[in-house]
Amino acid sequence: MSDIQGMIYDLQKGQEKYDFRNKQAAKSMVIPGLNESIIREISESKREPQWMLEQRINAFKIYETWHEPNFGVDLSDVDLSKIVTYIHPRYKKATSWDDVPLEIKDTFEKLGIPQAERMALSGVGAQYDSEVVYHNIKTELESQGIIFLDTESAVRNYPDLVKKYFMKAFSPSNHRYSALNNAIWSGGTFLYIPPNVDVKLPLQAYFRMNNEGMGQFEHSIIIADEGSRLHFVEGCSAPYYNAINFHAGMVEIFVKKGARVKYSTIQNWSKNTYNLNSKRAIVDQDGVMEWVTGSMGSHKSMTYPTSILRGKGAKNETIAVSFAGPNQHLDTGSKVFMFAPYTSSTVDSRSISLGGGWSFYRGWLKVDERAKGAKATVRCNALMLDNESRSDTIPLIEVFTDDADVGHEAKVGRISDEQIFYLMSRGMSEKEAKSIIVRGFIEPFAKELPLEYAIELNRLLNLEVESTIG
Amino acid sequence: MNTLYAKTVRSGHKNFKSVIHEPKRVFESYSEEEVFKKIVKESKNTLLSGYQQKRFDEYKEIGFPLFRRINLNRPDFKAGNFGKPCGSNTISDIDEQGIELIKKYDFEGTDRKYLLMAELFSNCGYYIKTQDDQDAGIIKLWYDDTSIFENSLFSLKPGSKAVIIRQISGNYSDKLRNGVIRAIIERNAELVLINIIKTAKADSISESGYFSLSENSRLKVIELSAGQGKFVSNYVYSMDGKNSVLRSAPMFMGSDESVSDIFHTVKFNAPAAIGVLEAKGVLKDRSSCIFRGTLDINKGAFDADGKESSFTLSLSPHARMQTIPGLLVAENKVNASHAATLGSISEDKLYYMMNRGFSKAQAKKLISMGIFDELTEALDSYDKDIAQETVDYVYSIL
Repeated sequence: MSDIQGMIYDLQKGQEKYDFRNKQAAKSMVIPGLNESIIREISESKREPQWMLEQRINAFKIYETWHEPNFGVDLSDVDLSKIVTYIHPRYKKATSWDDVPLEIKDTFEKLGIPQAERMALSGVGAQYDSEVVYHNIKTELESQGIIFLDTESAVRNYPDLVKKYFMKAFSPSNHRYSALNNAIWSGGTFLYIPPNVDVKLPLQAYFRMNNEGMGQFEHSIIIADEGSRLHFVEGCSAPYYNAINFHAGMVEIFVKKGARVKYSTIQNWSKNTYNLNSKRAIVDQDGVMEWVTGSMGSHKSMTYPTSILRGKGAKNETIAVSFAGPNQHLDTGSKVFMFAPYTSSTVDSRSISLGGGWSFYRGWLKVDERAKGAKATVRCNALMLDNESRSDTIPLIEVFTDDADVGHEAKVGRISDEQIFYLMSRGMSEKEAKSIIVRGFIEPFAKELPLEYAIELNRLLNLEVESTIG
Repeated sequence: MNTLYAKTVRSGHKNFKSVIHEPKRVFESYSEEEVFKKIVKESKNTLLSGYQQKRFDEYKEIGFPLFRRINLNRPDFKAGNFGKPCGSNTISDIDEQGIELIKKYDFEGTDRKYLLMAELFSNCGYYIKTQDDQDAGIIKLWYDDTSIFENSLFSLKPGSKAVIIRQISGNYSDKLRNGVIRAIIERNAELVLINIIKTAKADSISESGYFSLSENSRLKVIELSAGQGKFVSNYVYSMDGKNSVLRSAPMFMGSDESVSDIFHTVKFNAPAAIGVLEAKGVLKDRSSCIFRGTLDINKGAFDADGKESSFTLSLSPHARMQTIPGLLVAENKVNASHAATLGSISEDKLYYMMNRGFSKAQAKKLISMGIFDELTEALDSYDKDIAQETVDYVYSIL
């Protein structure tokens, strides 16, 4: 077996834990295609108010007239009319794992979600295909006024609150896939943290696509009211199919005055998935938004977590790692828009490519003329583990004021012989030396995750990297 | 000889494609067909006119790019006027060898439409060809204060050397200047190119450049674009030979409502090439600048050493700076890095200067002038008069 074939074999091995399929849940109904009647059907099945239906229809009209993005990955082989846009589950949502249908519960058990909930989380939302099947939060947090629901339940139970924030960080005309999500969204998390509430343990949402050829279009909204604190963890996976699976989720985050939100993602979609995810945070005065993003899965990805710093002293911190292996084109990055005085931002992006993978960092930092005294840095580092892969970095930096300090640096390279020699001279094998260097490379990202997730990340990387570079 | 059509940006890897924005285009009629026929008819060089005729069909098929639209309704652009001689026109004496080089090194330029326009309607152009191992000394190129369509070729034979100083005056406003330069630097040859481009109000300037560097060749490009007009440039440096060395230092000085769009790409196609791209500039008033610098390292260009940096000093709350430093890497045994810094003059620096008796305005000017040191020092070593003129010009804008 050649080195490259060995790498590919090991990568597939690394996905075994996630690559299992359940039969279609018995009570589900598959709805393929994309048209207005399907949108009406989705809305009706969710018993939505009229304003939501109208928003969906309006967004669908925008979607139909909007062009594909004029940058990023090639989407010409995606035919959305063939994607299963909605799978209607004919069972109730549960707040206890015992009430979740057995085959679905089995899926999440295999992924370790109930165990993680017991050990390390304040609450969990679990989405299976198009709908959230499980949502639960610790009782003491609920009593503090935290609202943690699936988004459609929130639309019914807290209509005014949802209406105030739904599609307010994005507009359906931002791009074609924001319109698409707005039109056919299903599932996702709605989370409201009241003023000055500090959620000590993370909350998690896990997204699982089980069916072949399906699309997942969840829509999550997080509101951290003044002075509150939150760490939200998002995970996702799917079994591998030959047909295209499609994910175009959306996350809207509102960080109010003095609040702090950390949003961590471990994206591990199967290598047949097209992942076009939209995430945006609006940050008010002295608020802090932290994006911790790990992209390891998918066939093609376009995702650029965005912070709009609109309040004086608002802050963004982005740490991102992407890992492009065989047959992967990951076009990822970050966007930060600084619109207020004394705002600040740091972006630390790292990418690893091997086995012919293509890792592409695309960033946009804008310092508006109102952002007097702003400070921002963008750092990009790329590690190419072989000579078959490719690594590109294209950040756009715009500065429209003379009172800001903005710096950017980027580097692309491989593991140098000197580094390996240094470690080997201290008793390590070449394989161990390379593994340690790769782990050190992503360490700033791993240390931002809760311990259990950092261990899981290391396990994934051990499978995906250590065995491939030996 | 095969043609090497060089796209400015690569857009694929293995089975993957990347989506690249194609500009919307518009067609405008300005009697170009009659003008072109007249040019061909009057041409005394059948090699050149033959080449031009072949390219006219492509030119007709392409519209003008909307995002980089130039005003075609200007006096110098009326039918019959373009083609009017400007400066020297040694390109009209181009030989077969030169034509073959122009054919071989084909590229996109600032936009394909403008590149073809400059070639087809050229009213000036320099064909400079050195002999093997010749030291051609300092060559100064001059241009009339009219609209310019330039088609130039610098062919440096093995082991030869030349210093070329190009100056576009910017003495009169509302001019269109559209230039295409090719420089083919053969083995062990060395070229220093200093471009001084002054833009007056309402000027539109487009500069397309393609530079091919063979084994052990050296190229230094120092460019100043300064003034109040619109300036667009696109230079591709193709490191085709091993151990070739490039240093490119684009500098900009924007004032009033000037707009600069500067795009330099270093393509590493051979092993052990060194490419340094270092952009610097000052913006004042409501001027704006986009600087794009890309290091594009192809597979096989191992041991490449690429560095790119940009530094912008903003002297006005209304100035606008955009920088897009790009690293495209398909070979892992390389050193490639880029860095960008954007900021204003620190209070500490101003305080230091003012403590030594300078007014605040003088201190700002002196600190800003420091950015152009590499240009003024290089010019000083070749031609003190041009150096002094350039310093005076930049100082007057500051």
